[in-house]
Amino acid sequence: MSDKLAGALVNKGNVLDDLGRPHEALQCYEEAIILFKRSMERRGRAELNEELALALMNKGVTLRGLGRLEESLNCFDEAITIYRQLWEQGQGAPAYEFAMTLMNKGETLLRLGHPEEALSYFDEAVGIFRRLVEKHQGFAEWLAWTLRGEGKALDDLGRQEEALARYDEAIALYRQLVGVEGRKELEMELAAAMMNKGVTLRRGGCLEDALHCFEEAIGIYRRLVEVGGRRELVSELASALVSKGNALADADRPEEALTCYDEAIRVYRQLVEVEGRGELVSDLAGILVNKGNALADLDRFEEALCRFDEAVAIYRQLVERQGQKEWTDKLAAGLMNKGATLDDLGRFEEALQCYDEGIRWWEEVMEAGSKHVAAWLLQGLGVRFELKRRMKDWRGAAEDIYRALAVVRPFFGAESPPEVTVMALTEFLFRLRLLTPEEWAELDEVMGEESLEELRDWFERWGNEPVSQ
Amino acid sequence: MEQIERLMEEGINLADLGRLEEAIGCYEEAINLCRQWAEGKGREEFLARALSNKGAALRRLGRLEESLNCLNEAVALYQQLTKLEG
Repeated sequence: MSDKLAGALVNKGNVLDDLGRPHEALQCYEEAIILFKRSMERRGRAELNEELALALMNKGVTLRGLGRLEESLNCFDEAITIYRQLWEQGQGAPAYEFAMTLMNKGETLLRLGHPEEALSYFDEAVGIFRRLVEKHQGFAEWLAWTLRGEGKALDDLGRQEEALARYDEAIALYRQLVGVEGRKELEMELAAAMMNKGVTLRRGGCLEDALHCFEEAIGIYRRLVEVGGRRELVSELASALVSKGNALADADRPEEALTCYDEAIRVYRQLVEVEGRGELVSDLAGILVNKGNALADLDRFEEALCRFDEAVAIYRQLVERQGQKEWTDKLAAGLMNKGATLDDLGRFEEALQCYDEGIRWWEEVMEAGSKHVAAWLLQGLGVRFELKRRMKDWRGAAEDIYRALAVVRPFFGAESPPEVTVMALTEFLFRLRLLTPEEWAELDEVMGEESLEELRDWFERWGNEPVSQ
Repeated sequence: MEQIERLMEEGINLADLGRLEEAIGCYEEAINLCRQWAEGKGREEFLARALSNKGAALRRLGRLEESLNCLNEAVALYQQLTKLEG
């Protein structure tokens, strides 16, 4: 009887998870898993393996939803081991559940930043779903879902053409399901697939095609929210508007981008300030930064400054008061944007203060072991160097060169430094190349010979002209 | 009891075909018959099974609160039965 209790607990866990009560759901899954294992150990009930694997998969999905990604992976691994054993023993593992577990493991690996490994799980899951779809069209929805996952992994690996092919296949499946089979509940998945494709196209510089994708997604979300009353999709609508705004900004159409950002900001303000969705406040800050950049592109610096001010205040609140350190790099970037706008307004001292603080935050993130901010830190140092040069603060400018050298040294000892860091270094060196002989003479006065030698070495190694003397 | 078993089987077949409303109808009929029975192990077990299946079908229809009520009752019944089994 305990295995039947376990089965009912798994069902209850599923409903609790759907109801947004993941902690209670977890308790149900955990109790069920213990009962299944006990039944199998005491009574040799090997046939319960399938049910145990399913409980483990569901537990993994709930853990992932709670951000407990490593624990989630353990659950998927245990379930996959069971399914593979069943397969090898010729007992016929349930193909759908096995493929779902593989797909879920792929999604978790993707979130953990392991696209290469994720890809192999998506591949295997896609293979199984393809065979299932041949027998029954009902699985097409999951094939489409898994193809999207595979597309994201490929995109993360820089294999954009292959990613686009996966998205196109998923989109075709969704169109068939929604348009021909009347599965209207999948319209939001079609919109999400269009968003995936749009993001990849934008990254590849295909802005017009990306815009078409975002516009179709916006159309679907807008209809679902405004006509279908699906209020829960309003943040997806806002996010699609932001993506469209970003593509328009990339296409040098800042006025149109502003219209998108404004609508998205209205939506997020309603969600955050009126409906109390505090978890979305960082999204609001992100759009404020984007809007600030679009305004700055239009030389509307005072307005841009207001947006950066608000964004910085939000990130500061998250980092300093709520201890959410994961927003530190955004706080730094917001400060650099604010600094650049003050710089454009000719308020150099205030700009310098912003740059100083932004760089301090990035250095803090680097010191905490996150090397991915090296490129941004280098860029920030370059921007501040440039301002100090204009302010004729040669000692300060030299200090930024020393710091930049300290940042790049560990990376460029490696055989293949990250591409973004190479680009940031090239940009930094380019700034130096623009110095006049008189300015070099000023720097020579304050920089040690050893540092100048090292700088010459960097110029030679990265294909720039040697430092002029 | 045969009638309950037949209803349960029909409910499962209908749910497999995606005809969830009809499946729920079968489970409800089975639940009513169970409740009319005199108390006993057989009754509790059938009732728990019917409630669990109804809960699963309701979930697929997105009727989550109703589903949870069924599953809460099913879990409670199975817990009693498990205790009785020792």
